Amino acid sequence: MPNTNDQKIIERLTNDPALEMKRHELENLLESEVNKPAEEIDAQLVGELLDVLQPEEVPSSLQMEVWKKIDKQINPKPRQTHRLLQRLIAAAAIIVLLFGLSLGAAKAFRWTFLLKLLQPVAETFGIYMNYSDDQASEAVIENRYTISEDENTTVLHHDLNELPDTFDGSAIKPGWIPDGYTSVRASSFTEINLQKYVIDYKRGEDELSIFVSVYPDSDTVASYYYERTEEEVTERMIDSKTVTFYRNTDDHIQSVSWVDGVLHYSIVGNVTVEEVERIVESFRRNQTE
Amino acid sequence: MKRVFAMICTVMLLLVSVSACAVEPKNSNYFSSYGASLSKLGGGDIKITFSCDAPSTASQLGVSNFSVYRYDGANWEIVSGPHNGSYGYGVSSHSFSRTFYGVAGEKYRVEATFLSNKSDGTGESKTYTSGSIVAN
Repeated sequence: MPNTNDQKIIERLTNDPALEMKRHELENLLESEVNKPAEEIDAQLVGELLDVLQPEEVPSSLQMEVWKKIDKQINPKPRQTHRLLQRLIAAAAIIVLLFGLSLGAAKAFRWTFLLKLLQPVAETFGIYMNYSDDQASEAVIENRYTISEDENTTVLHHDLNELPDTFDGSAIKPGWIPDGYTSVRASSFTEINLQKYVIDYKRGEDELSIFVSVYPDSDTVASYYYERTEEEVTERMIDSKTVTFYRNTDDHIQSVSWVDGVLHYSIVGNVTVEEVERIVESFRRNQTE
Repeated sequence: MKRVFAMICTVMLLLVSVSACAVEPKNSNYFSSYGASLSKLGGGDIKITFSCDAPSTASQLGVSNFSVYRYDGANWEIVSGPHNGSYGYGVSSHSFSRTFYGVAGEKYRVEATFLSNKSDGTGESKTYTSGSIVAN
């Protein structure tokens, strides 16, 4: 049986470089290798040294230190600043994602309270939202196809002087009225699509009314029916105005209408044709006075 | 004698008949004019103004009710109304306005019933349809 010395000689003779060195030399080599900076450690050499040296002969602390350094070389860890930057980027991405989800949900479900809250931030990123207040939107929907309460209505005047004399340069009040007639009532109505002035006269049981209408808004659809009998309609030129004569009711009632500028005139009452002509002419005189 | 008496009676009867025709009143007209003006206000709103005139003083004159119709491309359908109108009393003319809250781009028109009553208890109503207007 060969002895241990012979065995050592044989192993040396096989030219195993690691075994040509003495143990303390191997340990020193290992320690010097471990003490190098992590990136300079020869991991393979360290591994072979550890393999040669009996594991139980290498202190555990040294073993741990060696494996740590090897592991660090194989799996280099990022520096602290890189890790912090990654965390900040991840946090920012999460915040943006949450913001986007909140904005989308708020817009989808019309959470105007949330939309108002997110609007400043959204506009910072160029996202402009067009929303209306919940209550206003509800009011708009509720008001659709509804009618307002009473607005403008005819205003009665007891004094003829309460009516204006002219409108846009044209006379509203006549300069002449047949004898016996006195004004009993005047009224006015003012709206964007109609202005109307009416003067009522009376002479016993006879009545005479003068209507002056103005349609100031050109973007208006106006349709009015003028009642008349089947009797033939006649036209006359009075003071350069084309005046239409027609019958509206019984034989005593004369109806007359003409247009002067933007004003539409009508006379209805118990008057003769000659009296009508004088009334029409009196409007002209009123303008020149 | 009998023939003379018969002729006198016949003439008298004719005279009475003619006189009866002369005093029999003709049908009176209660309206001089009536109608409405529709104007765009923007935002889908329409200003509706009703106006009517009578040939003599009316005990009651105005609109009894009105409705707003929308054109759906094929038919006119009622979207608002009927609503109460407005009257003037003891007047020869009456006008009033309302605002209709519609939708921009839609076409509307108004149907109304004008009413004119005299102090003798007689009266007349007129059914009216306005022109159409597209709200802006």
